[in-house]
Amino acid sequence: MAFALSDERIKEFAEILSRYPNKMAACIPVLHLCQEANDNWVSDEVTEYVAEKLELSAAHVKGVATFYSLFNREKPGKHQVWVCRTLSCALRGSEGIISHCEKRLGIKMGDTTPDGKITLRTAECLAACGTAPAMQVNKEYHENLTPESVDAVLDKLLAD
Amino acid sequence: MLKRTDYLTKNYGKPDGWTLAAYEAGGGYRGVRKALMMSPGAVVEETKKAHIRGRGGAGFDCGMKWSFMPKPSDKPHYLVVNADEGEPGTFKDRTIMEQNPHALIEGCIIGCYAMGAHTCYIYVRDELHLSKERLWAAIEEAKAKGYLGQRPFGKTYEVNIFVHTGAGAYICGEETALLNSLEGKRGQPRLKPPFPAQSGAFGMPTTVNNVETLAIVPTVFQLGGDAFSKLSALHHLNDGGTRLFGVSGHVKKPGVYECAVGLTLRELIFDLGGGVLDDRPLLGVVPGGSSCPVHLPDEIVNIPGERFEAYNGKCILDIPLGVDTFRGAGSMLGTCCAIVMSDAVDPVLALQNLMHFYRDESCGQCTPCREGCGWLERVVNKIVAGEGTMAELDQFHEIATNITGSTICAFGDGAAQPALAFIRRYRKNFEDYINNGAATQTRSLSL
Amino acid sequence: MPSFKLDGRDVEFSPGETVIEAARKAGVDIPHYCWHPGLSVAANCRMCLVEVGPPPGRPALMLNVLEYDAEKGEYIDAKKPKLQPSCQLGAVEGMEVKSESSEHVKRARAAVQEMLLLNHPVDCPICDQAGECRLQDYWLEHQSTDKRMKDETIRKPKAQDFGPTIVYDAERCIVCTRCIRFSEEIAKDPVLDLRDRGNLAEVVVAPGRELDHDYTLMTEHVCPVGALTAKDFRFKARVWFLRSSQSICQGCSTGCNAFLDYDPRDQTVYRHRPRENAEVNKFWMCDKGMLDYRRIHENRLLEPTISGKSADVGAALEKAVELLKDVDSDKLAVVLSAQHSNEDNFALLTLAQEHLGSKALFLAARPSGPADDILINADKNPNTAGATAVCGSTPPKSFSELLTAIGSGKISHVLALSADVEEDLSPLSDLKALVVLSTHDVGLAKAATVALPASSWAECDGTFVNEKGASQASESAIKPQGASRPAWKLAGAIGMRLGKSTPWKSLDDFRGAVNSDAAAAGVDVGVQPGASA
Repeated sequence: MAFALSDERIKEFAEILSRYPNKMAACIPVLHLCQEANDNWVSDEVTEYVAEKLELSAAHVKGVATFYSLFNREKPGKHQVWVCRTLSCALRGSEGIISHCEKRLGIKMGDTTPDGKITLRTAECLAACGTAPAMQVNKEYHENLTPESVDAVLDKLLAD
Repeated sequence: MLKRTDYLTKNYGKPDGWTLAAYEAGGGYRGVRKALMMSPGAVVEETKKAHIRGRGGAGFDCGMKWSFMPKPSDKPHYLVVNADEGEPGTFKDRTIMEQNPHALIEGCIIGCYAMGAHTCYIYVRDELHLSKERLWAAIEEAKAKGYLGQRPFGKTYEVNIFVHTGAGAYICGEETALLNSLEGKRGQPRLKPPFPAQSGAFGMPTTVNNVETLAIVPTVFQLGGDAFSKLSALHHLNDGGTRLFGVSGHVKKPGVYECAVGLTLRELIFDLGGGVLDDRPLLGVVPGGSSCPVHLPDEIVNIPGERFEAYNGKCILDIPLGVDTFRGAGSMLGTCCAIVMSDAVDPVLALQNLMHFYRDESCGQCTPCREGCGWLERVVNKIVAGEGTMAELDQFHEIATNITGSTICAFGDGAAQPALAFIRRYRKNFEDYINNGAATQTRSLSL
Repeated sequence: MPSFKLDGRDVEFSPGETVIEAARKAGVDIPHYCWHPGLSVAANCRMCLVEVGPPPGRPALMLNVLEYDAEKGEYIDAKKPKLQPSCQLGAVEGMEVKSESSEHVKRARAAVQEMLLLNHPVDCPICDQAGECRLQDYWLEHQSTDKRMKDETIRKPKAQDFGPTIVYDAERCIVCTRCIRFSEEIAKDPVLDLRDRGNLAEVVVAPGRELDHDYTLMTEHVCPVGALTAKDFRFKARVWFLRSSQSICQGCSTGCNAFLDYDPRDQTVYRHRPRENAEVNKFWMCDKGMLDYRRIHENRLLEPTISGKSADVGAALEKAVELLKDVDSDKLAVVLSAQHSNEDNFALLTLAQEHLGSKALFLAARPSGPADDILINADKNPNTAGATAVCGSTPPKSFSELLTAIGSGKISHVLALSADVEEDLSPLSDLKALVVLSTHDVGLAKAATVALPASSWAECDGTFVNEKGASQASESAIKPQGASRPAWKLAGAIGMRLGKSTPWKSLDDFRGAVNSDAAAAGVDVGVQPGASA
C-alpha cells in the first residue's frame, strides 16, 4: 500500500516547510515525520513519498535516509534502546551494561526481541559523558546506569 | 588558576531553571537590550574585545568570525548554531540547551543583529530530544514576550529562530557538513573555499557558531567585552572570559564546571573532578574531546615562543587550558572536556574504542578518511584479537600520517591524531598484545 | 597571460582556471580519478593533491605526524604540509606548485592509491575495465608496491542491474561520484546518488526507477574504474586487442565526434564512444549514438542483387549501366542520401548531372525523431546539410515528392543512394528501373532492380556536415564488409562503364576533384583532406 501522511501530520509537514527558504531543507525533518508515521522506519515507499512531496529525486532522498544512522531501513521493535559504547561511557562500564542488556533480553546488539518489543543497539557518544554510562530509550535518556536501573527500564518496556 | 563562575550555570539544577522567568530573574535578556541600542558594527567590535575563542573545538575568535560576514545586501544572511554535540567526551552544550536555553536564544538574537541575519537555525543532533523540546519552548516563550519576531525588544529588526534536527551523524558537527545537512542533503563536508561567510546556508552569507560560544555572548554585553575578557587568566593571549569545562571517565565527580579560562587539567581532574577514582594513578588524559591527543600525566611540554615562556618545561597538567597554550604545546584544546583514564585502563582497548567510532562516523566522501579509518580500526582489532603482527604495528603510524592533511575536512586529522598519540605513548602496550598475549595488560576499560 | 610554476615549469592560465585545468592545457596530466573536465569539482579522490608554497613571508601550514625509528625503537615527531587538491585549487599568478617534484605529494598519491585498492577485489582478469583502468595505470605509476592489508576485503553487492544498459559492482567502486554528477549535471536526471556512508558507501539508483535516461552509457564511460560496465560490451572483448578510429556518429545531425573501437583480427567493431570536441559534443554521446555502431554488422547488404537475386559485382554494374544508359534524362531521377558522406553524394551527383544528364534530384533520409537540448537532434541523419550543400543552388526535393512524381508517371528510372526511409515504397513498383547503392538490406535495396552493396562509415573515410554546418571527417575502422565498396567508388565504376572516364583513382584524387568541382560551382562542401579534423 502506498504511504501517505495523516491530516494532522500533513499540517505538521506544512509547518516544517514554512521554516525554510526551499523544500529540500525540509528533507530530514520530514523523513523523521514520515518515519514516525511508518512504524519507525523509512521504506522505499516513504522515500518516494518524501521525494514527491519535496520535489526531489528519490535517489537524493535515499542517499539522505541511508546516510544518517537514525533512519531505520527495516521496522524496529516497538521500543528502541541505544546503549552508548564510546570511550567515556566505556570507561564507566558500558561494556557491562551492553552485555547485561543482551543477556536480559536474550538478543545481540542490533537485534529485536522475538516479540517485537525492543530493538537493542549501540550508540556512538550520546553527549552524556559526565553521567556515564548512558542509554537512550526512544526519545529519553537514562544516565548513570547500573544493571539494576537498566532492568527497571527494560521491565517497563517489556510490560508495555 | 581555578576560579569558578556561574554566568551560564546559575540556574542549573533548579526547578524550572530553564524557563524565561527564571532566566530573567537571574539577569537574563539584559545583554541583548544593551546590544540592540548599539550599531551592529559596534556589537561586533564589543564581541571582539571579549576574545571569546570558539567553544566548539577550533578556538577561532567569535568576534573576528562575525566580522567576516559581508555588509548587508539584498541577500539574506544566516546565523546557524552548531548544536550537534557528539565529540566523544564532550557534553557541555547539552547542559546549556536543557538547563539554560534562553542564554542561547539571547545570544542568537545578538548574533543575528550583529551580522545582519534575520533567521537563525539551531542544528541539534536528533538524540537530544530534551534539548530540542526546551529550545522550542524557549523560542515560544520569547516570541510571546515579543523578544523574537518582528520587533524584538521594540527594535525594528526581525529575528526568527528555528530548531533543526539532525538524524545521527557525528560528521554534521563539521560546519559545512552541518550546512549540507541543514539544506536537506547528505552530511558531507563541503570544499572550501568558499567559506560559509561568503556562501553558507542556501548559498548565502552564513556564520556557524557553537552553542556555548553564543550562549556566553549575553554575558559579554552585561559586563562589557573587555571586562569579560579579563576574567580569564589568558586575557593576554586573547583567550578571554569564562567557559564550561567538562570532565568524564575515571574521576570521582564527573560533570560540567563553569570557570574562568586559565584552569589547568590538574585543577579540573583533582579539584573539580575530585581526583581519580579509587585514588588510582593516572594513565592518561585527553584534554578536549577524543580528537585531541592523549597525554601522559608526567608529560613535560616544550612550548616555544616568548609569550609562552612561563609554561615552557612544565607538566602538561599544569598548563592553563587555552587555545594557543595547548596548540603551542603540540596538543589541542578542543572542547575543554577532558577524558580521564586511570591505570586500570588498557590503552589498546581505549584506542580500539575510538577507532571504531571514527570508522563508524566517517562520511566516506574522500579516500584517505573513508579507507584509512577502516584500516586503522582493522589493525587495532587484529592486535586486540591476538592476530596482529609487528609489521602491522610498524605501519600503524604511517596509515594515520597518510590520512593527516590529505582530507576534505578536519575529521581525518581528528581520527589520525588519537591514533598517533596513543601509539606514540603506549607502543609498549601494543607490543605486549602482539608478543606476549597481552600478559601484562588490564584488558579492560572500566574499574 | 598570467602563469604559475608547476614543478619549476611555467604554466599559463586564464583567470578562473584551476591548477589541474591549466596543467591539462599545458599537456601535463596531474593524476586524478574524480575530476572530469566536463563535470563539477568533487575533490574526493585526493589523487591530484599537490604541494603549494605559502604566500611570500608566511610559513607553510605544517601538520604534526610521526615517523618511527626502528633501530632506536622510538617515534620521532615529524611534520607534513597540508596538501591541496589541484582540481579545486584556483591558479594564482606566481604560485609555486609542486606535483611530481614533491616527496610529500608522491607519498600522498601512493597512499591514496593503496587506500583505493584496500577493499578493491582486484579481479582484473574478469573485469572489462582492465587495460583502460586508472587503478591499474596509477598503481604502476604511483604505487608499485604490494598491498599491505592482507585481510578479507569488505563485501558489497556485485553485478547489480542498474537498468537496461548498465551493471554495477559496488566492490570495484571508488565512490568518485562521476556517474552521479554526470546524470545530474549533464543528463539532467538525478537518478543516481550515494547510499550509506564511510567505507560502506555505494552508488544507488532512485527507488522506483532504473538508470534509463538517454545517456546511461556515459556513466560507464566516465567511470574511471570497472564499477560500471555496459551490458553491450561486457565480456565481449579485451581492450588491449582493440584499435580505435576517429569517426563521426551517424545517429543524428549533431555529428558527435567518436571513436570506433574495433578488433583488427576479426574485423569487428565492438564499441562506439565519445571523442572530445568542445564545439560539438564536448565529452559526451547519447546511448543511441553509442549503440549505433551495431548497425555496422547488422542487416548489411553484403552482395549485389539483380531483381532480388544474388549477383557478382561486375554483372550488377553491367546491369545497372544497361538500365540507366540512354534513358530520357527528364524521366530519370537521382536520389542522394542524408546518411551518406559528402564524397558518396558528390560522386552520385556527378554521375547524375554529368554522365546521365538528370536534373531531378531528391534526398532520401531517415524520418525525424525525438530531440533534447543536450545532444540529440530531431534530424536523425548525419549529413543532411552536406548532401544538400553538394547540390549547390538547387536543393534536392524530398523523397516523398519523388514517390508522388513516380505515381504520376513523371519519373520512370531512379538511381539512388540508400537511406532508412520510412515512406510507403509501393509506388516504386511502377518504375522501369531502380538502381540502388545501399549499405543495408533495407526497403530501397529490396525494391531495387539492381542493388549494389556500399560500405558503411566504419569501412570508408568520409566527410559529414552537422546541423551547425561543421564539416567533419570520419575515418574508416575496418575493411569493407562482404562485396561492399565505398559508394563513391561504385558511382565512379558506373560512370566508367557509361564510357565516361573519371579521374578518381584514390580518395585524395577524388576529394581534390570534389573540392575543385564544387568551388567551380560556387559551393563549399568542405571535403576534408584527411581524417583528423
